Amino acid sequence: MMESEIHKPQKKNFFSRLFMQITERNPLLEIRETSEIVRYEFKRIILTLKFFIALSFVLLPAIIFLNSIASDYEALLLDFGVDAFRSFSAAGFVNIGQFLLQMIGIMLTLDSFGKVADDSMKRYFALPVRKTNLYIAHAITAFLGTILTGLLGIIVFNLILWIWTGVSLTFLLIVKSFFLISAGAFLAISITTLFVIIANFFGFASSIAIVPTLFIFYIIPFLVNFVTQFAFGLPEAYQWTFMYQLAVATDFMIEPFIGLQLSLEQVANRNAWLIIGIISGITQILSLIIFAESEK
Amino acid sequence: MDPIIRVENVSKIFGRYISRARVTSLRDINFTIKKGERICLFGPNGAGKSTLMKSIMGLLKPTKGQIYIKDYNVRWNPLKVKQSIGYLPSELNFYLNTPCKESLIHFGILRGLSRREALQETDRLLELIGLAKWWDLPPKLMSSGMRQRFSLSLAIIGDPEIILFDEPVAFIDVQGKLKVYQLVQDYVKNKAKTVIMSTHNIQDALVMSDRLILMDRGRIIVDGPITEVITKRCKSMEIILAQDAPSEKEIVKVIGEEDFELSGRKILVRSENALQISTSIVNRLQENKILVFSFRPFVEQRRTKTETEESS
Repeated sequence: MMESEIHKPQKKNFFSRLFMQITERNPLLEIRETSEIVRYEFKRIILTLKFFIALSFVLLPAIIFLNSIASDYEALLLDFGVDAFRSFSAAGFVNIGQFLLQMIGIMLTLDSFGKVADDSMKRYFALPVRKTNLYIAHAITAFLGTILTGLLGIIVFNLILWIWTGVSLTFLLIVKSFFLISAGAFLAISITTLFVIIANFFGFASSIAIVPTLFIFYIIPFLVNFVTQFAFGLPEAYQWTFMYQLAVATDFMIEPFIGLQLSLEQVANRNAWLIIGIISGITQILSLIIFAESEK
Repeated sequence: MDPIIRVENVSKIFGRYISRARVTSLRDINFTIKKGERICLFGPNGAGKSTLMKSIMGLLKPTKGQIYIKDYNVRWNPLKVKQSIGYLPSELNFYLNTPCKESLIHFGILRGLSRREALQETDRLLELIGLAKWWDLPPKLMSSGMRQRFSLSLAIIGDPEIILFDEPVAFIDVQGKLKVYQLVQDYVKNKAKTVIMSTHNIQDALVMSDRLILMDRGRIIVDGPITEVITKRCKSMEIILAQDAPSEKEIVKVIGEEDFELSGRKILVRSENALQISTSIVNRLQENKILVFSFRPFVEQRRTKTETEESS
């Protein structure tokens, strides 16, 4: 049989293509490809100044925090932040750290999937690299950058805290703080990734993709909180916002408690983690499908 | 010899789903390329050269038709196809801050070489393109010619059988061009590679290819051996300007001393070197931001009623 007859055009649907993709190559080759892209991209991120700017953003709250203790500085933060700051607990850092690490996560996501990155990503499209691996590698890079920044931030924060006040976080608290900071950042990364990929798909500037994330995390909670509490006297509505769910999850894990823990049921805590997990997972899968199926 | 590339009835329409304004970039393109051929896709900006290249590369999905590389359908076997193709895009395709060697090794590994092979290949290619001393420096410190040579090395690492050059010498000076020409010719001839390049400069086409495909508004107008196309089939060339073209006086001022006939928006060049002259006219017009609607060999009574309506 001639070779041309072997490779006759076949109409393949999504599932047969998916099956072909899974079975076409050795899984080890996929891992090698993904890890090579992660290695190169991560090195590039570290080489660029962005990473260090990001790190300084984590250092900043540590300094503000210590200032607030020293001079009784009234920092205006999200609901739980003010009390937490004043109560000289690590929870304040977690709230602030969560916010800043979310920002860093968003920045790294734009660096990995944004318009400029989308243009530069074209280099990979001309290579025999699977789009799925490309997506996974870039997502890992964003997560890895966030994790590393978070870890460094917490360690440096603790160092400053110890030098200044003689008080240090316990190892367990450091691990918990890191975990909670990362949870919010991962959620922000997943949601931003989806919006960035949708923006790229329709040819919009990817920078506008951070607007929905900002709305979901900050503007909507603020508005809901403000309107329900002051205009309608209904304080419960804000419980449906992402930031509240993150705060619940945070409060459930962190020590010392910031008070919310006492009024919450186990179910609420479980739901908060479920919301974070399910939404992160679904947005990642959706982003991957759009990325892999879109034409570049 | 069996063709290595087959392009069958390929059309590409942009903006089908989202935008109301549809742009037909390719219209029923058909051709085949044999192993070792050096093809030049030639035409003005907007002729569809880059779209065709990207479709061959699998970066764009044709709206209609099929493309086969070594009998593999580009759409359904993208990895196998990309394994055989090295692509040099018109825009920069590397990070400016990452050292050359690092990027080359990375590309080599992704092309399936082992780390050791990629290292050896990197050293050899850096030597070949004359950038061995620059191995640890980032491309942002290089001149545009050096960057283009570096781009070339990224396209040929892993020794692909087919190489696509999308306007490889568009933005570099004459000295840089000569170096790139020399490199490409040495590499391609020594290894009998199949090359497709796109350009709107006839000099580049003459140096780097032996078959010319003249494109205009998404169609293939002429396809044949380059010398035959230039000497026999393109003795008269017609350039039609877009509707918002400036006055004849201004057009004459832009074109200058070239030998041509001008009536309204239509420029006609009749000469032994018609293709060369008309290309130079088109380039000058485009440099002055005068849009060219059509650029093609002129044949009396050739234009159909639909085309006439379309152009008006």
